[in-house]
Amino acid sequence: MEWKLDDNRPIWIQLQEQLTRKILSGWYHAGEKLPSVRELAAEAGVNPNTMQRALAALDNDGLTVTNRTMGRTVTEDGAILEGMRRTLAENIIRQFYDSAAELGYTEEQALALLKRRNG
Amino acid sequence: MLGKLMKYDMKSMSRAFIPMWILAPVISLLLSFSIRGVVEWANSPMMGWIVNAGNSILMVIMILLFMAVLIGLLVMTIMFVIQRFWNGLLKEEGYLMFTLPVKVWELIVSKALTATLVASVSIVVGIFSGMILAVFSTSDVVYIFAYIWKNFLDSFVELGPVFWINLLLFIIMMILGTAGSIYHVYAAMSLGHLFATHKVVGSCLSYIGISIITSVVENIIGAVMGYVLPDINYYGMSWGLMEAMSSLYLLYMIAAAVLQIVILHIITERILSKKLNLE
Amino acid sequence: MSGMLIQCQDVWKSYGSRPALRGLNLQLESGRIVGLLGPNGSGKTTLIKILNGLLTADNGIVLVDGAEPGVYTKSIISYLPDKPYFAGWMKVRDLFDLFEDFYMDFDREKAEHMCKALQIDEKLRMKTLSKGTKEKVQLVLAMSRRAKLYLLDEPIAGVDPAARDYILSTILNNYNPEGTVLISTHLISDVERVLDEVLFIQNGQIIRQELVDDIREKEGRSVDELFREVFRTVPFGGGEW
Repeated sequence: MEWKLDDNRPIWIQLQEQLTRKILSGWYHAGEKLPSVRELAAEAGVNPNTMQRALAALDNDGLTVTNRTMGRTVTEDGAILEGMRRTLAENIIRQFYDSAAELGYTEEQALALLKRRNG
Repeated sequence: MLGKLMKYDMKSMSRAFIPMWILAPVISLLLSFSIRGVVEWANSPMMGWIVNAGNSILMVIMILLFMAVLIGLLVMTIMFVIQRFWNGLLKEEGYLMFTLPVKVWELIVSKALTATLVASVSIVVGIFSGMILAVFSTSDVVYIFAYIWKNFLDSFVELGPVFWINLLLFIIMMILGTAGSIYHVYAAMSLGHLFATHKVVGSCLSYIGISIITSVVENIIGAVMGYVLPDINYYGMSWGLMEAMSSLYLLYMIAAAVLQIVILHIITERILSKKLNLE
Repeated sequence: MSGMLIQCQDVWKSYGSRPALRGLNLQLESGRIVGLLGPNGSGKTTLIKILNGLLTADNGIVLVDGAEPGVYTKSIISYLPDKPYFAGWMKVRDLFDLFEDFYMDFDREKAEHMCKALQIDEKLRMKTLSKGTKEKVQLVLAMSRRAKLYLLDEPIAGVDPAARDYILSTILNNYNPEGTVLISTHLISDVERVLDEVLFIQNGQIIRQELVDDIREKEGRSVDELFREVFRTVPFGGGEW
């Protein structure tokens, strides 16, 4: 999985988003140990402090757990993973409706369009 | 740290000089043999002029080579003194040297000691090569050696301890004088380094300036000494008194050289510590 | 203020009549990667050389880890100059010897390892190496030290993008995380991601000092874009458009 960083938003936020996606998509599975800050930073070509900040945000979200002996691992708490997955999905849906609204569709119309495409 | 610095200065020096130090006596030896060849052929009744001509050409080549080696040694020594300081400290290489965690005086002393050693050895090699030439170009090598050896032993017996002290003082004076000349060049380059532009011109002017100041000071001291000291009549002076006078004179010269070295070192060190500008 | 790695107060420096630094002020903490950004002739190299002792300031206070430039500061600063500084006769190995002799924090194994990775033969003399290889050797030397302060003067100027990535990842992978890295450059978009903090230098003064993510958060744009705006030169003929 490639790291994609755009220029205009804080880098740590972008790193946090991409790490979150990697965890939820199973790239890093539940209980797996994450690479060190340095390794991740080198992989993404970013400053270790920035990566540290992104990882701290993941800890904050409960997606990762920092443990003295194991280092940083992905949480094994299914509820947290599921909750985060839901939140992200809701964001995507929100964006979908917002974009549809920009084109002049109401939520019902947009939903109908979506259903017709799938059906 | 000074020792470590000298290790690197010695290393850079030895690559260039050791071949020259070996080459000079070897060439003078070859030259002396070819001179001898010419002389012997010229004396031989069976003189073959072709051989002689060939030998003469060889001799001329050898003389040229010998001159080239001696001049090369001289030029190389002077170049070494200037270049190791200018390029090694005041140009790009100075980026490396002046970012090493060492004191500025250590950088300077390391260069000065190495340069003094190079210059002293070069002088000795030059003299040695000349001696080889003088001795071996005559046919009667054995006789000359015997003569020198005998005289040497005789002198050893004849000459008192003061002579040997004086010889030692003379060698010390020569070495310190060489170091003084080297510091003269260093101080001039450091002063030249203060110029915003035309640093080379500045260095040359500084060199001349230091020379003038030095000779003025020497003259003043000389005049004072002449005034203070009693009038000495060398004529009819005893050998012992002459030796004692020489010792005094040599001590004076050594003191002067030490003073010159100290003052020029302080100038160099202060400039490179406080006014370093490696643009 | 204690605990600051670099403190500059009202630092002035001129070359003859040409001023390079005009009352520069700067405070820099440990553990950061900092970009020193400014156009050519803004004073980047002058500031770096004053910090490492190759230049002496005309006026002002310069402290590195609480000490004036001297033997101590030189022992904790790792410097990558903007041009080669070797004696031609030296072999790569001789340079390793030299660094090992003088710098307590030099990690020879690391240097040898990096050389191997870069396919540089340690037995070669500096004068036989290409310009690019010389620069790599300098990078290896600078990054094989566990320094408190790395001063990297234009490490990525004049190299192709692949080499640029290599250099940046070498810096990221090898610097001492408790130390600070100061990278001077005018190629901002290339280094932007690796920086914590940026300093904008103009006419010999630090005109802006900010965290990269703060700039992005507040201004909604990259440091590169901000830089272009701050240092936009008025086209010749005046600014009346």
